[in-house]
Amino acid sequence: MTFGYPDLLWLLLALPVGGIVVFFAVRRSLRNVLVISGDFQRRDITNLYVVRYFVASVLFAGAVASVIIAAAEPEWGEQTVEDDRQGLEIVFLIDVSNSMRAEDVEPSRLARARSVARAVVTRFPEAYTGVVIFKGAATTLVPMTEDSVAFDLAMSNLSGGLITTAGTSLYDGLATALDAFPPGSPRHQVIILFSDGEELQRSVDTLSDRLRRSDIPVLAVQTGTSAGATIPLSSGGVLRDGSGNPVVVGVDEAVLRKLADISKGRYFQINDPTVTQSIVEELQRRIGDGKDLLFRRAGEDRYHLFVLLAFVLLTAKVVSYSIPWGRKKGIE
Amino acid sequence: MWILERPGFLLLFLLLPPLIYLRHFWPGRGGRIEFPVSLWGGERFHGPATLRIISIRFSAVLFWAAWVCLIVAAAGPTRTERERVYLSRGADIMLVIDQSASMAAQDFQPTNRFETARAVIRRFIEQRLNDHIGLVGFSAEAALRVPPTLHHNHVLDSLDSMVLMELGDGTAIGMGLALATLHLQASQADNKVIVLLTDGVNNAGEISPEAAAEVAGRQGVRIYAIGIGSGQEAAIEVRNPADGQLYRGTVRESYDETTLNRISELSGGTYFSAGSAGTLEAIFNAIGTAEDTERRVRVQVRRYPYHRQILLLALALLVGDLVVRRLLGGYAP
Repeated sequence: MTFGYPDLLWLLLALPVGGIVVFFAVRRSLRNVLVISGDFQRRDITNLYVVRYFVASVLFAGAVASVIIAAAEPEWGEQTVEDDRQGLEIVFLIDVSNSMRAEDVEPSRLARARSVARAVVTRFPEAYTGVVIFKGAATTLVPMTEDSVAFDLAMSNLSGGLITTAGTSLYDGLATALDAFPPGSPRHQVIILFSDGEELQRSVDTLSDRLRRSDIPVLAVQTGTSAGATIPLSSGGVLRDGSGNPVVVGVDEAVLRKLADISKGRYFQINDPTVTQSIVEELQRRIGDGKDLLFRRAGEDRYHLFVLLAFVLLTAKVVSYSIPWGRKKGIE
Repeated sequence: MWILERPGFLLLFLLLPPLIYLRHFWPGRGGRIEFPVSLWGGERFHGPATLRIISIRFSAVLFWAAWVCLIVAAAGPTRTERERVYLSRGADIMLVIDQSASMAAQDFQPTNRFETARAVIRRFIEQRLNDHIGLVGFSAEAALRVPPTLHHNHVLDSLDSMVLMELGDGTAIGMGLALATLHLQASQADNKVIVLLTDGVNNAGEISPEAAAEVAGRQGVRIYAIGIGSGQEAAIEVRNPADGQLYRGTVRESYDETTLNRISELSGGTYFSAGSAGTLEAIFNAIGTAEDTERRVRVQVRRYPYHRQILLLALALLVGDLVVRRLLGGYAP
């Protein structure tokens, strides 16, 4: 079983806490009832309380747990989905922030990203390509086009100087990349992201819903190494912080892996010597040979089963609460 | 438009009245302590409407609201959007626009040649939904502004940001045509078209208009050459973006009809002369009609499910029920 929103499952941890609160509530309530009713029916009233409120609490907790699981969108099993898209549209989403100047991969993170992007496009000459770059803001450098000359031109001029806003806003980059696909396209759509994963502004989590709905996979290529590196300056030397220490930029794999997971894409590392081939194979797998109708396997959403379970449990709670369990013995 | 993926689940609403009756109104229901005494011949005792009583009733409302939300969520509320998917390829159109100083001539109302052309081109682009449209600007030099794309907003934004004389002072028609042809090279479209709009004579650039047109023709690119200008003397006012200097004067020079004619002939296109704003509009309409391709369209429905939001609301209501009942109502679970 997989979940569309696995983070929601953390809410299940709140259930034991709720259980403890309810336990003390029942105990206090039972004491109050015993004060009114006296000691002569103590055992019956205690049994009744245990049966009625234990059952009700368990049913309620079960219902809440089911709603949480349903909201996390469980999927299991697979269904075959007809896919009549043909052709390919790729948006290259490229981080041009300062950290991409680090030289922990040869010749630099940005230059390597550029050469991998070019190599991928060479393998898909009929693909439509777009280029979106981001730093503190994002901009569409090349709108979705068949024009390979424009793509080459953009790649040649790729640099951090194209955007003046400092920072790294992966959120803006991703939002702009999603907008770069023309509506009503009959082609397969993919975002290839080149970044070291730094997220200095708004979290990309806020885009996860849109990304999921768009059905556009993100092939996230992590452009640095975990050891990190300093940032060379064009004037010579390296970038230093306020205290004069060299700034060392690392990578944030987790963000990129998460984006790939959410969008049903894939994660790559740029220092893997086979990265270009792996991306090409991944794209080929997704578009097929472009001639025949494709059938793809998609996870089957089962949330409604848990909603139904929650519904049944809540209804059972109402019924169990309303049944006069102890009427025959003179108590309700 | 909103739809339900599993409308059958709505039948569960039939259970709502009996369950509410069972829980809140059935005389035999459990979970309470009855006082078997009342005033003789009078009504039974009723508790005062304290915060505790109100909270308990409010918690019941929260509970049943959550119950309703669960049924709605199970029914699969989904927003659908229809979008047109073009299965046939439209034309690829490169707009090549003269940005030389003379385009500021005020013989076209309400402002000048350039602004009139910009407005007409804007309307033309907005009608060409299935055509890839690109934009090249030229004066002393030529520059690609937008490659051919279906993202027309991008083209319109770029069109709006064009400034006269930003590429120097001169008229490099050949360079503009050559650049547009280069960016149509990879096009798989059956119809590849350049719409050239100029008011001057080629006087800059290393490529002659005829040579560029010949190359375009060999690549299957048709050129619609439009000469713009009334042919009369016209006032001109233009600010050079390079130094901010304002130029004022009059302009008499007109476009080179012979060259524009030749350009069109060499590429299998057509030459047009636009002496007024109305004529220019008519020319673009004629080009639009000539380049109309067969459109095969499929309507695709995009689905945006909303059950998750409703489930989160149900969850909040259930927690609210528990909290209100327990903390304010002092009720057992």
